[in-house]
Amino acid sequence: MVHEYSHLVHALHARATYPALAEGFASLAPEYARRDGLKRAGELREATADDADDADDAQEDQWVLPPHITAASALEAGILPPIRQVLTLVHSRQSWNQWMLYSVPTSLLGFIDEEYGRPTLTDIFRHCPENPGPIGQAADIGSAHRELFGTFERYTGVPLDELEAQWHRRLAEMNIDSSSVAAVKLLKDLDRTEMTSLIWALGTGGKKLDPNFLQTFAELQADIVRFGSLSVSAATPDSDTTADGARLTEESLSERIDHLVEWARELWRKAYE
Amino acid sequence: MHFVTAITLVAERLPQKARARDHRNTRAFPLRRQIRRNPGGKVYVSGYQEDSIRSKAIILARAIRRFGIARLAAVAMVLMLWGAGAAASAAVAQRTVDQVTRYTSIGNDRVILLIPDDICPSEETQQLLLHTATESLRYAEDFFGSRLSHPVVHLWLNAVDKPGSVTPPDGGIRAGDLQGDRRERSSPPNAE
Repeated sequence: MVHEYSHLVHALHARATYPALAEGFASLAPEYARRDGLKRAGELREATADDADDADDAQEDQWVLPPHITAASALEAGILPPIRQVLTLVHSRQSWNQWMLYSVPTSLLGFIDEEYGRPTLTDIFRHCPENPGPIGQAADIGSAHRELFGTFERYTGVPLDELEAQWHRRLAEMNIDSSSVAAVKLLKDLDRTEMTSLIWALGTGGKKLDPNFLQTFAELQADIVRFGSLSVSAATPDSDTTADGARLTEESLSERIDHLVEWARELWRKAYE
Repeated sequence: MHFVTAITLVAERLPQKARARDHRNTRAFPLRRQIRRNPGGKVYVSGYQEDSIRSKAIILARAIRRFGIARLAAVAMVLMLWGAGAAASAAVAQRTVDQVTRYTSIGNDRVILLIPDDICPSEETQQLLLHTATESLRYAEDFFGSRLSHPVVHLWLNAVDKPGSVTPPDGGIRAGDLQGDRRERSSPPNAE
């Protein structure tokens, strides 16, 4: 619920800001709420000097902003979009785009919070420019985007390219598991189902997408996220198994994507029968 | 400022394993069962006549599974908040109920917890929902250092027509109680 209420609080300052900022801010606060809860429950401890002697153990207990894991994995996989593209991400039905929308801008904003402090973050929060929307001249949109980028430069005090370089350096320093890197690639690969076009094609013939297909898609996506430990800072004990207890591997997930793509093609054919 | 935000939250009965997994993911934000009150607080509530016919935007549908309480099959809530500027609108609301959210246009600066007609959550569950909502709003306000201009009313919608035991807990009010143009009530759930 912190996510939803963050939207409400944000609406005090920006009626309709850019989706990447809206979702980035709204996704950031719950991560800290979760961290605070872990601290209260005694399941998380602050780093101490002794941690330097046992880096592996220390890393297990220390909190990492979960969206950093997605962003760092995408960076390592070579699929992290440039910062200007990150800030102008919009909603879509594409699996990877949606996952990015809720995690990559969050990682950037989390980095600003960590590096520049909460006042800088809240300054940006309060002064997000309005999104001009899809209607308008290209020149107007370009001008609006410059205002958006300028907001970040004004409050961080560094050019956007420098901010991006700093953020990437921080992400590159993270010790990311290979399964996380594989997971972001798999999430991107899920887009081969072309869900958006499929739903549109079915709709033109008055048909609806098979709910079993949707459910299979959702389960596969959830398994990929669990396999890569992308949604929580620490991997859950059964992160390498499906809800049914089957073992998750990159190969098995990739095969399931292939099957889903085949299924999607079959649905495409039926859409025009 | 004119803005409308609507969120639909759906909790469904989950298989045991999924519920256990979800518990691990949400245990970091435990619920406490006290509800903060402010007996002296007041909140302005506008009537239907002040509502606008601006289109509503549903921005997110999100599963909440933390309420795995026995006999709770599903709870759907719509949380809505109107900006203060909404009162400036003289347009008359159209009381059509949205087929997806079962929401009908309503007032200023309030959060609506919409419970579908076919669900009858216990008072304990409602208190948990209200408390979680209150805590969540407070956290968001603290985190961003911005506070809503008015205390928010948590409005229990549809509860009035339910058979059985659905009673809005302290801090929540029934939709059926809002028949006048303007009402004031004490004890807003999250007023300081």
